[in-house]
Amino acid sequence: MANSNTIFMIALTFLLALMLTMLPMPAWTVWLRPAWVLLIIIYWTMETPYYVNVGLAWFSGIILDVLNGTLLGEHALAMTIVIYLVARMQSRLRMFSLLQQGLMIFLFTLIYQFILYCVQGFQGEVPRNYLYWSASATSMIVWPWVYSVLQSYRRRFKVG
Amino acid sequence: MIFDTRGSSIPQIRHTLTVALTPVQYMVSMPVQWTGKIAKIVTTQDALIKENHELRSRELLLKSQVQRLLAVESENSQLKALMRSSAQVQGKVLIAQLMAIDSDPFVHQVIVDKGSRDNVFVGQPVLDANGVMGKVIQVGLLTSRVLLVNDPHSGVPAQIARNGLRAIAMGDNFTGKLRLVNIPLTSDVRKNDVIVTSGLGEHFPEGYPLGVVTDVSKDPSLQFAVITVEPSAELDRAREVLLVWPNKRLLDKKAVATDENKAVENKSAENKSDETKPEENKSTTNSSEKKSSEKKSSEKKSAEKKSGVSKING
Repeated sequence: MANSNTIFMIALTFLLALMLTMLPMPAWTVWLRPAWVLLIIIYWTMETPYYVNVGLAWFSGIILDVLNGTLLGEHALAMTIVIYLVARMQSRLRMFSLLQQGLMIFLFTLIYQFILYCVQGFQGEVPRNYLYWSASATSMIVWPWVYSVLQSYRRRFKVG
Repeated sequence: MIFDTRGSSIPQIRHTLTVALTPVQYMVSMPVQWTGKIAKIVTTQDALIKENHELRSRELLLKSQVQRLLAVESENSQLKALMRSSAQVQGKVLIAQLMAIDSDPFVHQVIVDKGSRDNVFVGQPVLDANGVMGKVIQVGLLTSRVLLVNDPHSGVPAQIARNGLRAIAMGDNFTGKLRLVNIPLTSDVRKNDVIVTSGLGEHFPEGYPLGVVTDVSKDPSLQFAVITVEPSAELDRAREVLLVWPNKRLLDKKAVATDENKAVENKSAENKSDETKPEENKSTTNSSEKKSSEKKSSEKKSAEKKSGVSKING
């Protein structure tokens, strides 16, 4: 089943997510940026769990750490834990409606952000700003679009 | 994660990963820069002519100021020689572009498009047209990462230009400004005091403007005064920055000092490797005219800055 087309197509979306993560935005949107990489990895874990799972989540977390200049392993830890939960619930998540999925995504990104928050706390750089948590909300809002775009992308190019 | 803060081999892993990921950074940065370029092309000729005139008149003004400055500078160096203080501000300078990349909102860091290929080294001071921006903390082949002065991990040895009171300016995560730490309540700090680098840590050259005091609160219940400093460098707006190679004499002095202190051997070796780099840079700048002209212009800039500081002093 491991065909190179699938791997390439998944890598392409992953690259796009990385670029969206780094894309310069106006200063007031700093805290609103959705966790793009997490969303993409959640999607692929839901749909193609045999290609994308905890291992790739860890790896992409490391890449995020290098690109963001944060402590190496910080995003990796958060990503690994969240993707483990997603992989456990994978078959149920696929059956959910978009609204239910959105709520689950809100929960997942909240856990993700909470872990990052704790690690930052250990380093003494806690964001004293409630806007920090708003990224979970934007991730939830963005999810239906991400999901439907990726769904048609997956069917179009027969990924997985 | 613990290894990242304490360990020694992790930086190498980070370095190789950074090199591998440089194309991604460029891919994000390029389109943004292209749109900027297109916007530039689209600006009308009329606006360009107008700007040209404006710049010419300003250049004339600046030239006249520089002439006066040369005299002042030579006098200053004479006086310094008399006092046998060897603090020198000017060194080699290279202009670098910021890459159009957003980092994590936790970290106050930027990425510039010069790396170890241009002899950038870890610990190198980075300035912009208005003041100190930060220092290089990680060098890749083509890019390097700069820790801004308002990052909570950053501390810059500073002094108040008015009375020479020494302090350390730390970054403040919450406000994005700087704080002067461990200043007693009785000390003479006022609002609108100009803070400059003191050159004591031997990372930053002496006398570059760091910021202006915006708020002094002396709460008797606290041990120290809470002093907020607005950084004078445009930390979130600048597009071009200056990478500075401090004067060789300063580095020589540093090497000698560490030898005298009988510090750990590898530490002095680090210093020596730093020391050789400016020489290489010298030869490269001499070979290419373009670079040297760049250097001149940036030297002028730094000279202007000096004039600003000396005015404040006087």
